[in-house]
Amino acid sequence: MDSLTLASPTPEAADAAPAAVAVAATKRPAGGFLRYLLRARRWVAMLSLGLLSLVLIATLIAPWIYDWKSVTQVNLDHALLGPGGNFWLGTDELGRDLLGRVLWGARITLTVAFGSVAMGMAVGVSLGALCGYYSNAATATIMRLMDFMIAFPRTLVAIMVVAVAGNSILSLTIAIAISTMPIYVRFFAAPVQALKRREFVLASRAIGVGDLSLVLTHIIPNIGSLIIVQATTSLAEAILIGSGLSFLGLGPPPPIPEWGAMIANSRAHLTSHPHVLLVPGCALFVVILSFNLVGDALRDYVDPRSRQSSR
Amino acid sequence: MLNYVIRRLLLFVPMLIGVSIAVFLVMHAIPGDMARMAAGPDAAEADIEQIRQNYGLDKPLHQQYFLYLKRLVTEGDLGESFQTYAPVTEGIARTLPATLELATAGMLLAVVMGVPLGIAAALRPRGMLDSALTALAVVGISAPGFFLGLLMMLLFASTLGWLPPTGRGSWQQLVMPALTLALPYVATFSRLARSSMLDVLGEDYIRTAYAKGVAKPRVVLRHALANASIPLVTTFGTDFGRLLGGAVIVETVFAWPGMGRYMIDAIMVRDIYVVQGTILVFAALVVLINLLVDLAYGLLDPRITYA
Repeated sequence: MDSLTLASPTPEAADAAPAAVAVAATKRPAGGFLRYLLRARRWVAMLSLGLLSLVLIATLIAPWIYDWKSVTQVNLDHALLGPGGNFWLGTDELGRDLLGRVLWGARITLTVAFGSVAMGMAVGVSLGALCGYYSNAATATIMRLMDFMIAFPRTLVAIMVVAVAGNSILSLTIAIAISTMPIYVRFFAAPVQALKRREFVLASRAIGVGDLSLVLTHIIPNIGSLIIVQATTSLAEAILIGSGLSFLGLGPPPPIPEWGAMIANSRAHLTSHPHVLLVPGCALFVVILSFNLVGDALRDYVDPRSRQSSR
Repeated sequence: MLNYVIRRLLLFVPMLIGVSIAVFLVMHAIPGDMARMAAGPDAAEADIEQIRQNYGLDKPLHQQYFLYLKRLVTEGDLGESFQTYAPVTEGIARTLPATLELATAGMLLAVVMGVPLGIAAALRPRGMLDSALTALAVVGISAPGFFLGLLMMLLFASTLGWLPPTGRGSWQQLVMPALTLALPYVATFSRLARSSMLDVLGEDYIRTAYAKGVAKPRVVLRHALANASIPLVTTFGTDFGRLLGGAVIVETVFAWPGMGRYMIDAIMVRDIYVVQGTILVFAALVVLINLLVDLAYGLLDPRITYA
């Protein structure tokens, strides 16, 4: 055992690495992901995918249903109304429509999630490919540094970044990207290393293809499916971290409707008006759960062996 | 082995120094004049200058760091709060026990609930319990701790009135925070215990043990668990770190007077020495736990050789 490794890889990474290497060697079922879901009767995953599509559509059209003013403007005349009537899901303590705020909140949440995963992945995949492709003192140092970062609580790393960058949607996105990036480096280094030794890569190198174009044309496309699977579950994680920070008061400032912040505000009326907690809370939970379920199904679709080998 | 332990212990110090440099640099990247923040909004220029000199803020960054380190090592001083003028070490001494209590209780609950469930699931793969655990595992990693905690509060404190909603002192007040913290890890540990138990149960020495007439409980709990626990211990360090991160949020939900809450309150008002001190202590805890895990790993698995 290496005496310098501070962190043991995360359980997910430890599980995924062997499966990752197997990806390139196995063929996925014929037909698309949707056809796979149908044939394998993965109704729960299908439902989740449908739900996520609905949420996506709802967030896109939200501005046409509720204007920004109606979800941020205080109106104490109809504060803390229960669901029903003019307000389908009721109103919060400042009289703002909860359905409108949840829909606008989804825009914020999804923007932060997609943004942070894209940022984290861009850096993580590049560094992971670098560390998997070259093995020398420099890449070994990077890997050590990543292990070191993985050992620290992601929430704490993200909190530090927000403390520096301030409360905004952008700094929240960057904080999540930085705190999750080391996991991607660890995750993608192993399959790149395995691919590097495959015959078709060796053959390309033998005919004089340079390192950079080798990585871009032969290695990255072969871990493409892995990237998509990892991105899907990472979205769940990003939403979890982001809403947690907002709950602590480190997210975008009010009156921006962020789910974590909405839940934090609901505490004062928890006993008398639980719907103020339940509306954003259920939205948050269902979206995270859906991303995880779709991610699981994607993993099985991309690597049929993962389902069997997990016994 | 002894050689390894000594080397591992020696590495502890440079690691802590590395962490302290990283934390120090990040904290000084916070925009704004620290002396001005310390002095308050309507302080006179002379006072601000005075504070700048007292804290050594007029010196170059590396000198500031060595000053900070020197005070920490020689006097055990982490600076003082800009808000209350109380030493940061005092605040940490007040709040750290609460955080450790919560984290330990949460971890214990997770292990005590998760591992036996995982073993039971491994004994009947694809059985009822196994399927239920598979489903629960996804729910466990998807439920945000603060939402779960507030739901529990709604049910057990507001509606049923069985448990006090917030605060610290009695064991009843520890139940909900510890449970909230533990639940995601119950899912993780049971999945991990299940898969590593399944691997071990397929090995030849287990069949040998059965063949020579050892009773099933003994085979499972002694022969198999000894090896199956190794992967669990390996991830324990990382899990504990993540649990500490989760504790920061759970403390806020249940008004638990721990170090996480102390840190978040300090971040809100940019009380830099408090933020720096608490993050340093969190980091030291993580490094220490990982050190202990590495050492325990060697004791559990004699096959590992230390070069």
